[in-house]
Amino acid sequence: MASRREFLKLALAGSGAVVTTPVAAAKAEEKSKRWGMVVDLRKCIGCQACTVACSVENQVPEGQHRTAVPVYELDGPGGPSQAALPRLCNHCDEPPCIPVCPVNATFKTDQGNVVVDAEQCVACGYCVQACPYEARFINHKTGVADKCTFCIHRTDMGLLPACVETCVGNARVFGDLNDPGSEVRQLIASHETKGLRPEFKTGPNVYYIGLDDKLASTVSVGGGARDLRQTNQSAAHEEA
Amino acid sequence: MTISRRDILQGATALGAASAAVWGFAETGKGFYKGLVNEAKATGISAGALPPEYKVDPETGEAVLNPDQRVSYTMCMGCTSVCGIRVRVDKASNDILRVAGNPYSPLSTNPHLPYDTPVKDALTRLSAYEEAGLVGRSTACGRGNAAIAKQASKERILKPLKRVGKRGSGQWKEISWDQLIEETVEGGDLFGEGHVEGLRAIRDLKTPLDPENPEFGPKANQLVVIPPFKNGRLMIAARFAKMAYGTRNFVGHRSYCGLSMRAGYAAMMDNLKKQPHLKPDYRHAKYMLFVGTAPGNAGNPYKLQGTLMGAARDREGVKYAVVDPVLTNAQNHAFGSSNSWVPIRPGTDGALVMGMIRWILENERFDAKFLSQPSPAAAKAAGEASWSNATHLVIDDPEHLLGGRFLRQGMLVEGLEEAAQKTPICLAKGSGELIPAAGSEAELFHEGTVTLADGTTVPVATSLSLLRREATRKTLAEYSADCGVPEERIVSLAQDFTSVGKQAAADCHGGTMHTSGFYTAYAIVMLNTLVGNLNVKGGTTAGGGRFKDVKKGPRYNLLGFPGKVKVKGVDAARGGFSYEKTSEFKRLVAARKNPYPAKAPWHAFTQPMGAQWLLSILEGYPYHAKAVITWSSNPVYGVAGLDAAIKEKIVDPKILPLFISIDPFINETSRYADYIVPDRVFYEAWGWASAWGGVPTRISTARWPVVEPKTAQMPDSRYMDMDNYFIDVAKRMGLPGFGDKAIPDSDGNLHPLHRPEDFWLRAGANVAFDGGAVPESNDEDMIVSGVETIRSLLEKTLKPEEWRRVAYVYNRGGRYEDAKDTYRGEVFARSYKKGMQIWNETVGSTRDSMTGEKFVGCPTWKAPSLANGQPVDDRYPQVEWPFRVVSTKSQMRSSSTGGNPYLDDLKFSNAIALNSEDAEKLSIKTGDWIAVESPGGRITGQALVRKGIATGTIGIEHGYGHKEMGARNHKIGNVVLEGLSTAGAGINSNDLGYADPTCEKAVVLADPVVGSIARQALPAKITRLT
Amino acid sequence: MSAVDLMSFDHEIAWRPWAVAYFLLIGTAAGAGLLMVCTRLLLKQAAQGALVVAASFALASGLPLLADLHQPARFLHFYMGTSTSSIMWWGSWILPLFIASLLLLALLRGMRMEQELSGLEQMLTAVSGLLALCILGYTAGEMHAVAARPLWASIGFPITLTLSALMSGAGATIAYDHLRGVSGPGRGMLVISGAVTLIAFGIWLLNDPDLSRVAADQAPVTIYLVFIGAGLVYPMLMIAITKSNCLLSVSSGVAAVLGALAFRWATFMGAQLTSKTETAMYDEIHLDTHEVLQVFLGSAGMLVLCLIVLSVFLRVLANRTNAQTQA
Repeated sequence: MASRREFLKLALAGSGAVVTTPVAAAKAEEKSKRWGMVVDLRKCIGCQACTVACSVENQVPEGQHRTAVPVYELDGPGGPSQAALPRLCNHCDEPPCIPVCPVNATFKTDQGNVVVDAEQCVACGYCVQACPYEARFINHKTGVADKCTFCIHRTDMGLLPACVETCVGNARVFGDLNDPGSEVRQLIASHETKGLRPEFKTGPNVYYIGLDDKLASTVSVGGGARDLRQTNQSAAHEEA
Repeated sequence: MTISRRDILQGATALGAASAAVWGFAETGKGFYKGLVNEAKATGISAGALPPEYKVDPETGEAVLNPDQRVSYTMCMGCTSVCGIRVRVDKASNDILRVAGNPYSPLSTNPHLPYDTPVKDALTRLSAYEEAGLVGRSTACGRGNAAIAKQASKERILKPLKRVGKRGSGQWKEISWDQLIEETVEGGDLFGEGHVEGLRAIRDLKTPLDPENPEFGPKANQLVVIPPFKNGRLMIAARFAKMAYGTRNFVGHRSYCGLSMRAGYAAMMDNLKKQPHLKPDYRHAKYMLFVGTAPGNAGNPYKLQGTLMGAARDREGVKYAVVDPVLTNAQNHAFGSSNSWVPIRPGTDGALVMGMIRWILENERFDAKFLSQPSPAAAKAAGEASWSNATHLVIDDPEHLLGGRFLRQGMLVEGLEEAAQKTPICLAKGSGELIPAAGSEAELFHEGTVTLADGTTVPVATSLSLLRREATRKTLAEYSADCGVPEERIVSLAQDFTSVGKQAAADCHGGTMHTSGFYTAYAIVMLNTLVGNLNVKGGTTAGGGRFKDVKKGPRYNLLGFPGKVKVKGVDAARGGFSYEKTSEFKRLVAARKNPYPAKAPWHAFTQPMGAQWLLSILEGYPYHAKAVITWSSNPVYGVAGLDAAIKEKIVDPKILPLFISIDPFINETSRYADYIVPDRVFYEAWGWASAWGGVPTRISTARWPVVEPKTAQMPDSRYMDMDNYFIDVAKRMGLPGFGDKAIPDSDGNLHPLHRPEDFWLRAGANVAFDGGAVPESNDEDMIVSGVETIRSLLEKTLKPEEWRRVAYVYNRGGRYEDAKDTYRGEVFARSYKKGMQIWNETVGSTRDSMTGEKFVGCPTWKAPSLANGQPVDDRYPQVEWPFRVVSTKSQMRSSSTGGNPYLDDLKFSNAIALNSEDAEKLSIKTGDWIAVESPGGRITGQALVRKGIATGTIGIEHGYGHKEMGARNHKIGNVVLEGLSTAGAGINSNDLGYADPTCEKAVVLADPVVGSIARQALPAKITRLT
Repeated sequence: MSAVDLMSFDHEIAWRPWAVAYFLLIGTAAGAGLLMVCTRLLLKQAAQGALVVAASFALASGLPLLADLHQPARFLHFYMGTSTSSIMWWGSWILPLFIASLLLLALLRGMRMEQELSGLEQMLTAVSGLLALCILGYTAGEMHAVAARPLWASIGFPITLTLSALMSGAGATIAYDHLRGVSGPGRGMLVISGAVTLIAFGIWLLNDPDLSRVAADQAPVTIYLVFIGAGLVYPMLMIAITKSNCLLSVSSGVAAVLGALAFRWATFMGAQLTSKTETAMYDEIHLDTHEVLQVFLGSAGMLVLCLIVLSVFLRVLANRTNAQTQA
């Protein structure tokens, strides 16, 4: 058993999560790693385990999500078909959210995680506007820009991101894109993979297997859950 | 200086403007102030993320624990799949931080860790070290992740409650544990409404409860105990109710969940009593057909099926189809044309499958070699992994005394030994001679006559011939017309199913819960028989079973004790007892009256059916009850049509004098209780469970308090819960099996039962020793797994040679056979021995208590009908009732997840799904408020218009529309237990269920053969609300 | 391809109505500022009204900008480092300089009433003009740079945004001058910028499907009608037809400002309500909410306060200067 002090020492040694100067911590990391994720859509069952696990792990407030899995009923020539599409920050190579930040609060770590320094952020929302994936939001609890960190506080400890750990279909695969032997690299090598919104040339580091081109960019969505929420609210208003 | 009017005007305007500015920027000012005084709520780049529970050294892979937290393995009950989970607890606050899967558990991991993996290494295997945690990941589903909110919920009941107002009024007062025990045992004028008999007075094991109908059993049967499903804690309640108290009436919830499926499998698998069932071997099947089940969206085990379906979609050459009125996540767009959704009219799956069977038989696409083997010996010789009774001859005259029974050797030849007498007869292959079913192949099809030993001649037919007769009663075109699936599609499904040898599997589940459910399920599972896939790798498996826990095991016998009572009599809802054996039947016959129909259906060969119990004891047919105890069960919410049928009577203490509920929450059933006994939620409780199916290796999952219970403590430090309630009631009444000398060990010594641990830890000793003892745990492992927290209990309760082995099992959250032992060559190592029944003799020789007709003993197609045989479509014609409602299973909800903030956040309400063509005709669009009316009720909700639902179908996702579980306020003393704003949103399709109009005594609509509740295919009409 | 969302998730818009208020105020300030510069430097006429309007609008714009930050106390972070890639960072420097230049100019003007254009004033006026152009450039650029919002990233958006700022600046000046009973400049600028805005917006609307869709579904169509009708056509016509009718001039000026407001509301909110992935769901902000009332009343209050304080200050200063001169 490690004592509390020993644990914290170990924790501090490699962690950007505990150290308050993240840039320095990130630089202290091994330079060779570059994190990425492959999402095998054939395996996703849309169960939202990742959605809830992320919210619990990262203490994301109610009504906000760092990752979520929209589920669509697509209409095609072969009849309707059900598609789940896990969404999260793509930790882009050319992240449009970073250059717009007026206070350098958001940056990319040496391992490729796009992160926000909660103490520096003025919460102007510019990065939220700039992200083409809608992966960012202003956190109700912390009052600053928030997003998926690839669970950097866990990966720094040698653990996996919460969403990956609990992915029931084993659809989310996480690993080092610089390591040719890694599972993510193997999957990319052996399958056709696509990124979301290629037209923005963001160089996303989340790769999808089985992504229908029609879902990669935009698909006209409506007549479902959102409409239900809206009309439910309006009905509640009427009753009140 | 003079002040002009202009100055005044300007001054006033400036003042107004300044006020407006101050008001408008007040929030900004507050924010500014908070920022200045540095009320920053987040630091660094991980903001408020939880501190990790451990760290793995990147060089050595060694796991180093965070001393502030612990990670323990126990069992989830977010739904009914009872998966193994790992629970992360903050030691200081006793809060559950997060859950994921137990890597040792095959229900949560594919493949699961070898059992002898040290507990610390298991943590490494879950980590990013060498990417081990990707292959070995052990998961909890969305619902399982969210379930932690249950433990800390403000809606929990933590102390005993007694009603102060009328039943159901929501007015309570807290009482002491002693008062609870005293009043419920001794009775008295408890509510100022007159004398109430207590549990002591009701327990009379000698006096018949109804002298006119002695078969009903003793008066003690008038205590009715309705527990939940087999959740791993059932047996201490069973020990109390059946074995100690002596009531016949103790049962689970099967008849409202998946009884059709269970009974269909049971008939095919020749075990109507235990009702085993099969699951496809998802790991190796090449073609799978799902009818009325949606793996990855619902079913049981939900999560494992989801994992395995994910893996299957990554394998070469796998194909599957999902037949379902509603499109679900079981169909996957990314998997493309290799999977398809087949929309079907609700309640008509049987037609589709009988069409497939017809085509398979006509085109000889069945496995003739497999079906020709009439016995295990023949099958073994032929290299088959199972056998069937396809060739066995059946007496083919329903009116004959032996009609529906197999022709057995004893009927042809006299003077044989008993075993030989029973041997079924078949026709030798080629010669056609009558031979006993033994080591050689037999003829598949034959219809003819046989002269029995008594000289009479009877018509006979092989089982397979009878199946062919049933299948060919209708043409493919007629089947197609009945189910709405095109003929070509029926053929292509049959073709696909029979194109991959034994690597094809068919499965069904809750979609068959309608009034032709039994035969539908029997037909679906019959497809497995036709390809002979049982026990075959890539075929189907009955599962690996469990280690002995409460049953007489290597260390203790927890179900046998001095003074144990053997229960007698008919159960409270006429299950498992044939109508022809009742006094009522005999009186009618004696009076030369037509005994049919019975006043309400009797089901001769099904297990007790809790779903009908509340209604039948309120109706008094067969008899009234004096006391009901429900524990963690909620039939009023879960049984279609029950609420409307009972809500007037259940509040009347004259009809039901005493009603006790044991539950952590107030639900739709316990709202009517006289007393509510607080209970532990699953993270806090003890128990042992297994898997329902789909796990081909042996599995026993442990449940133990990984966090301290929140319920109140008694003076002797025990927590208030179900176990202690039954223990204390039994001890006060002096019942056998509880108290000082209660639990016999294998040497015959008796051990005490005063606390839950006395029971469950000894069950753990059985698990630890069954089939060879597990090693002893060392001290460090107990610290790593948090079992350290129960170490003193283990030491105190168990024998020196036991406790460290039991700790070894708790360290791993149960005992699990290794995955490498799944197969032996091309067959499952743990195989199912009984034969596949193309004709089930018990079914085929039983009469319908309503029509008096014999049931068909093999799959057949009969449209859903009422108890008197009248088709539902006839009574409720499509012209007037154009829709059929189906209850669809949710991935996120179960009946017990009401008021969960994480789940409400994802989707706080369900909707009424209908097909876009239907919607267009009615001018309905998504979001419109509509009313759905059935013969039993009316609900209003929002429409969800989609193409992924069959026309003429209404789909309603289960788990919403709660009226309790936080949906309304209760008053406890002077304190208001406030409901939650989101709880109660949406609708419950069970409110549309209805009582069978053709029965004299009220029953909710059910399958005529086995009594499974019709929660599917309910007739309905829609009106648009403006 | 069309799809029904069986599971979808709501978001909130990141730039709240405060941003609309800020962009209106600062745009109007820049417009009025340019009007003042042109009048002063090219026509060599007094442009007291335009200056007061520009300075007051600019001064008032600071608060709503701060309010749109969710961490207002951290505004100093803007000045604690350099982030040249962020147009917003440039804006954080341009804005105070612009405000300062206008206030200085006002001070100067107040102290030297009725006098010829001095060299210092001339230089300061030119600097203000330059900074006004920077304001127009940065505000348009800041939004145009958001590629993820096609509506803002289109060519039509920065053009219309800038033109409507000019129109609003002219309108505000006309209204202010007429209210204090002076006939000042801006009529020509209003008519010309209004006409060009109308043309630019029309071409944009017809050519950009994103805009036409936003105009059709996301923001209430009426807001666009207000923009086109009340905000563009009415003031243009009124100013062109009528000569010096006080009431009509004031109403036309105010209408031009409201038109610019309508345009900003519709394009800022409308674009933000459009999900970038077409899957996220944004909660619409309704005009009648408490928050929106706070934004508009607060900003308007601040603006009026600035106008009065500045006017009184200039008047007092002018009186004193005159007294000194007479003495």
